[in-house]
Amino acid sequence: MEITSLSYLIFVGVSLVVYWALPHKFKWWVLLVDSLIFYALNTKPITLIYPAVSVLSVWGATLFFEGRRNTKPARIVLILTLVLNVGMLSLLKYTNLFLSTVSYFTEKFSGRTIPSVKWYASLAISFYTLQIISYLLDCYWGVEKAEKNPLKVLLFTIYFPLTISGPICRYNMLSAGLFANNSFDYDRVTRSLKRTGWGFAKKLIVADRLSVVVGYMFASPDFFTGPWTILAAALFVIQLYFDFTGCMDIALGISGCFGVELPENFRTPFFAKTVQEFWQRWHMTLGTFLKEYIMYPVLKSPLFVKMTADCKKHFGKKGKKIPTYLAMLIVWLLMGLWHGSSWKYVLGEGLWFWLIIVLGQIPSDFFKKAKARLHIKEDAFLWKAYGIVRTSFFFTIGMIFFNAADLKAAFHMISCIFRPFPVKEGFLSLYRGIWPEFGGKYVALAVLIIFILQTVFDFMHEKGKDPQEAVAKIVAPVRWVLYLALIFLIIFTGSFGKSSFIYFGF
Amino acid sequence: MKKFLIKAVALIVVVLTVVCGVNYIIDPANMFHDGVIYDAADMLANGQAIESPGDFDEGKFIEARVAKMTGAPTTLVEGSSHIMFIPYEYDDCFVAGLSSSYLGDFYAVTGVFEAYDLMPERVVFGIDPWMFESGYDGGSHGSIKDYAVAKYEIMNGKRSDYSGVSSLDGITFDKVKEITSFSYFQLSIDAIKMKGLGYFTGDGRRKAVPASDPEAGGFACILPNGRRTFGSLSAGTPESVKAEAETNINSGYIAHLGGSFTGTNEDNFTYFKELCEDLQSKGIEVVFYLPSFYPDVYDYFGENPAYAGVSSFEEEIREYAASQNIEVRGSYNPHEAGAEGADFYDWIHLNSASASENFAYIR
Repeated sequence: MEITSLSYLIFVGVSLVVYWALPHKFKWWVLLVDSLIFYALNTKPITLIYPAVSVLSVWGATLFFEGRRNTKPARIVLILTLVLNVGMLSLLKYTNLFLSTVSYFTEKFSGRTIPSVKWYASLAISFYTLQIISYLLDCYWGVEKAEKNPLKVLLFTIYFPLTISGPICRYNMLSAGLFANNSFDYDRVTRSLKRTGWGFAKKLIVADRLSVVVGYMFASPDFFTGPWTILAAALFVIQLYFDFTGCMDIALGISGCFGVELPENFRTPFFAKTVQEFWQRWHMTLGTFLKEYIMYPVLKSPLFVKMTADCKKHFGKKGKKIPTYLAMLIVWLLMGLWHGSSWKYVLGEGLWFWLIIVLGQIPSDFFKKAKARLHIKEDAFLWKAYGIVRTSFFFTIGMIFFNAADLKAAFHMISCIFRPFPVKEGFLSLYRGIWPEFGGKYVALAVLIIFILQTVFDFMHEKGKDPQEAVAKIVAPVRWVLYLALIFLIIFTGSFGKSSFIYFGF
Repeated sequence: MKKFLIKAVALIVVVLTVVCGVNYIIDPANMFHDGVIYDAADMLANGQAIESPGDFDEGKFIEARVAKMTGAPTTLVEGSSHIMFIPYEYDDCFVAGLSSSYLGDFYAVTGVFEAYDLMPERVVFGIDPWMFESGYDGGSHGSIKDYAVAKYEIMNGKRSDYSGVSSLDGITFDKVKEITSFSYFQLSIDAIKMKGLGYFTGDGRRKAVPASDPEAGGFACILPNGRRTFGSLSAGTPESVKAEAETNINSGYIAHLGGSFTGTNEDNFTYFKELCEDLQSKGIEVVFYLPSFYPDVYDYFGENPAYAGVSSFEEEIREYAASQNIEVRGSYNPHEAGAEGADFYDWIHLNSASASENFAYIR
């Protein structure tokens, strides 16, 4: 079931009517049944066994932790449950990465290759595994109370708006909305619907239309060279931003219609002045998970505590940062691996950003002194603009790895940046090759309108203003004309039935 | 909640009324105004060539034509637009070409003929490299898709006949889906942009019109044996065809191969082999035709590894054909088939005369 299809809207519409018509004690059952239906319609129903195993193992473990905190049996159960869940994720997602890597070497040395294996894919396994691990660890640490009803844990795991592309939620974030006594709130529901509508506009008009251009340019790196390569990568960044944030608007909007608030996953990332800040604003819930459940526990582990002390002893005050960089390396490697079972993600989504952040931090004292010497003020407009452009550029380079077919193709594309470029032929090729498939001038105008509006909304968010409140101040008839105009703009110029969300199925 | 429901229902009614109304009235593919299909089938059955009525449901048109047949043709030709325009040398030949045909369409068209008990003595499959990239039920012509599924199920003993399968009557789920479809709405708007508001008065809709000069007239035509002819009005010159090919080569993106072709989908190729062997087991002769690519495009395949699969796929087809004693005509390689740039109608299709030569004499 395509999220952008009419059948999905009908599914959500019927669910909403049933949900709000039933008494409170049945409401979460509606969400559970919906989630099971949605799961079964989007993948082979047999694969429900994966989340079922995860839920049963974690539910059992969390009940076992009750009254046994910090005991050896609890630690053993925790490790076994972690191994089971991480093992299942690794098996389903990374077996072929492992096999293809081994195959690369066996082919070099013995001429023999290892065939890949086919698993039945599980929907959103990368998202729900992290969620359920966070719940497991929170219960182990005593931050969260164990849920007695396994079906409630199952709903937390496969709640259908989340299985599109997240956000990754902690149990306490979701349970408040899922199991609370929700009553119909007109303002909340209409606000959520408007957000959903805007998400569809971003996805169907900008992301899916741009995907045609991006696919065309990425398929011909030897033709679209020099600045064309940068343009192709920049267009992919815009596509990804509109795709992912559009998806979040739809997920948060639809969940909001059921009275279940989800955490924000983006906070105007293209206003970030450093790569580190960028990742605090982009896919925030993944960043938070990696920080709280990987980085901090690693840094607090006896090995790292000892390493910190040793480094401080041998290299002085600055030396104690070495273990932090190492922990960051683990986090960024996992960040890369989480994005997909390919070395292109490990390098482009992981090591590249780690390197940029660490290289920015090591000489930070030097930069501070240089800035003082040159009388550069942190809040000067030009300095901020420079930081934003620089950060966006580094992110764009990383995204070449994301969208290229593989590591070799990504390096080849980067090498194409430094080659001569065809100006007239490039425009001609775009015009003759994909202009009709893109949709022509009216679609281009619609893409531009939504792009500009989103940029304005991002500016407003950055200034702490709410675009929806601003729209609400418009006189009702005009506002309704605007709503209808947006709906028909989507229907006229949206790209229907062509693609899923980029993060769907992770 | 009442206030919300009223507003929501009002909004949905407004939007759906506009979408469904425009889709029904404009109906650019004649899904709800399918009289043109039956009129065309009647005229063709009476031996009258017609001008091609623009966009129409080609799958349903094939079934409407088959339903009018009084006897089985000796030869049935199946495939994409690459086989539609060839004046075959066979005496009693029916050309059941479908635009952008896929493996599923081979199953579907064969299923239609089988369902009407009109199986020929010979089936010619025009094979394009991209055809096996989608599943056996993923033909590009949805209206006769059920025939593909039924044919496959009959071959595998899951059903015994085609009862209940038809694209001709009734309100189908596809029709209901299409009337609410936003992409169909966009096509409707494009149609209004191109042809004005004549649709609302009925004047804008194409009708089945007899062709005065089907072989050399300005418009594309359909002949009684199913063959199509190119319209001279949209024909390119050798120079413009070469320029079109060069533009596509320069972009590195050969669209009808989906941007790359490194090898076929073996599972789907197996489905195709099963179909061929099923026909052979019933005593039907099977022939393959491999339509040539434009010379510059084929040469480009040799330079770009993204298209390396084209020549190896031809070898694979030939190997299989040899093993099954199937005759293969034509070649993807235009140099092998004797086709030159001037033999092409556009950068994708050979013109009728050259395609005929390409089919008939190159073995």
